[in-house]
Amino acid sequence: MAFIEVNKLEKRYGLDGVSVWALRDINLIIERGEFIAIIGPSGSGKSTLMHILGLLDTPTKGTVKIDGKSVSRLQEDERAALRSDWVGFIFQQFNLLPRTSALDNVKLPIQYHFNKDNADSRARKALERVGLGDRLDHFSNQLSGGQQQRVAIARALINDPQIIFADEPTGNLDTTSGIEIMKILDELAAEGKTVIMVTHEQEVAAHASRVLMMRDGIVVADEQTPGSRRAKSAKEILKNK
Amino acid sequence: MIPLISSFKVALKALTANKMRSFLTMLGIIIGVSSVITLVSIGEGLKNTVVGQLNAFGTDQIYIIPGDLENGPGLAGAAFGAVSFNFSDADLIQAQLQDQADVVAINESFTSAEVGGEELKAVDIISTTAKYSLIASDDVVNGIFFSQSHENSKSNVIVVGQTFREKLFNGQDPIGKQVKINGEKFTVIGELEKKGATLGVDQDTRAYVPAGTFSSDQAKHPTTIIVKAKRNEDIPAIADQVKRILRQAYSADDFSVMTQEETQDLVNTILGAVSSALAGIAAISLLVGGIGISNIMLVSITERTSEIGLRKALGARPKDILTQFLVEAVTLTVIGGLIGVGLGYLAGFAIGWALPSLQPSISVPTIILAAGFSAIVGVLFGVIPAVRASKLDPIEALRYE
Repeated sequence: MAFIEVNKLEKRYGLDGVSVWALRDINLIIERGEFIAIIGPSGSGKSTLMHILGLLDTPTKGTVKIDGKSVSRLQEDERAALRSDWVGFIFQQFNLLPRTSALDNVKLPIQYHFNKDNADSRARKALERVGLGDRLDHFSNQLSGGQQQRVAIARALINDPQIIFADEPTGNLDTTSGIEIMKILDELAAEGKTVIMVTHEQEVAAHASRVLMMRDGIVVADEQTPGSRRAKSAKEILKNK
Repeated sequence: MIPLISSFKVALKALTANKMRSFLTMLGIIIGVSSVITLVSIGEGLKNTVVGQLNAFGTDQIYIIPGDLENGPGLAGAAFGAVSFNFSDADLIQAQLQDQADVVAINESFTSAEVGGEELKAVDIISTTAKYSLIASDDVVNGIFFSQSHENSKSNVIVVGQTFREKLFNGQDPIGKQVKINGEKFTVIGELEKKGATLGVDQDTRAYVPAGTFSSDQAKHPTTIIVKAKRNEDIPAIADQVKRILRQAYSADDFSVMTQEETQDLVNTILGAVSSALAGIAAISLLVGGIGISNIMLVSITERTSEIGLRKALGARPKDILTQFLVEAVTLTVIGGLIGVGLGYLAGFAIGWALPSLQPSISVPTIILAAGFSAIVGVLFGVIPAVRASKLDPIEALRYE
């Protein structure tokens, strides 16, 4: 059984009586452990697709199944519970709470998760995992962009999600920091996490094992990238540094 | 319970993150609650003072005044009551009650006193019989109260309060000196203990003279007959007996017999209404404070739109967001309420220090009421912003900058 199965997915927005298609007839099968990059120009529907897959939004038509169970018609509270347990988000703007320590930022999702045990040690471990073990008590404004995004990754990992969604994770970062972030995402994918990333940068998309190209709400290309190329590209980027 | 504690912690963190704004928001509640506490405690203090003074006269006393307070034209009518008591009425009642009680008639009037051209206005002159010393609550600390023989001979003697010494006798011992009242000269034979002022009214301008020493018609009729029972439990029976006696003597119910308990009830009713009115006025400021909370919460939610979106993305349900902002509003108002209670307490203390006769009394129910009311204000005014926050679309909210 496929991990994620998308069938005839449509999303339409009503704008001043005129309905605008954001997605039409999307059919996808995503397996566990895939590292997927969704690319395309702005307005192509890549963010909408990610939001629906990430249970932040609901489709107008069609179904999304996770482990064979339909999740596209769930109630808001049920979607919230699934987001809490299954999904980790990484945003372009990092979205850390201001005037709050890195540790507390990472602990934030625990507040909404059923497992509240060992919050401190879990958060500490997650921060160590992204190489910020020595920045636990730093406030977000005392951290560099790359460090902030690493805090955000630690936050996404804290509840041990099945899928990581990354929305332009390097979009707000300098090249060096971007490379660091992509290295962490590569490692997560290598550990078997499913990673779905929206980006418009070719080099970033090259890290993925599969690239979905979108235009006008349709997937126009769906390509597997050879694993060797992915590893090579990471090495190349590091070499050029 | 645990989620509530953690959302309280989250609320505290959010509120301390913007201390100045939190404080200004709380200010409305602080002022509201402290004014409720202050005004209610003043009202209570007023009540205690007045009741305390009534009690000083003794709870064992019955007052009989001309005019029917309950069915008649009220106090104004009572003052010009059709019935004019005589000092002999006291003897009549005494004869019937025998040793159950002491009965004394008094005529109280306000006039001026003069010593060597120095005038003291609005002194409280009480013409009464020598028996008054049996029921008096004010002790003679210097000299004597007038005696039966003074009364019989209608001697122009007077027992004066401490203000006479201060204002008319230059602080010197007034015994043996003369004071002119209503054009008649009186020799001071006694001085009363110092009572101080109550609600700004000097209680030491009182003076006692033997009944019949004034020649005016008005002074011949007692304004009050006081019956002091020997045993408290006899009071209702004595009051009934007094009514019967007076009804026979005057054929009409044109007088009022008030026991101390009834007087207290009356005072309590009046002052209770005053207290509630004060509390009501103060409650309006609490309401205004609540509107301030609502306003700031709305601003805060707009400002934290992306935080709300983030929290939703991380798994917060609408009710988690609702709880968070509601707890924040309630935390603001309860902390404001507690500070208000503290300030109100201090204000009451300061008033008690400035006006020793008025001891504001802060009761635990008042504090609970004020704190509870401010929590309710927090919920009422926090709920609209909190509901709005909980309904935000996470995608829109995340996009918001």
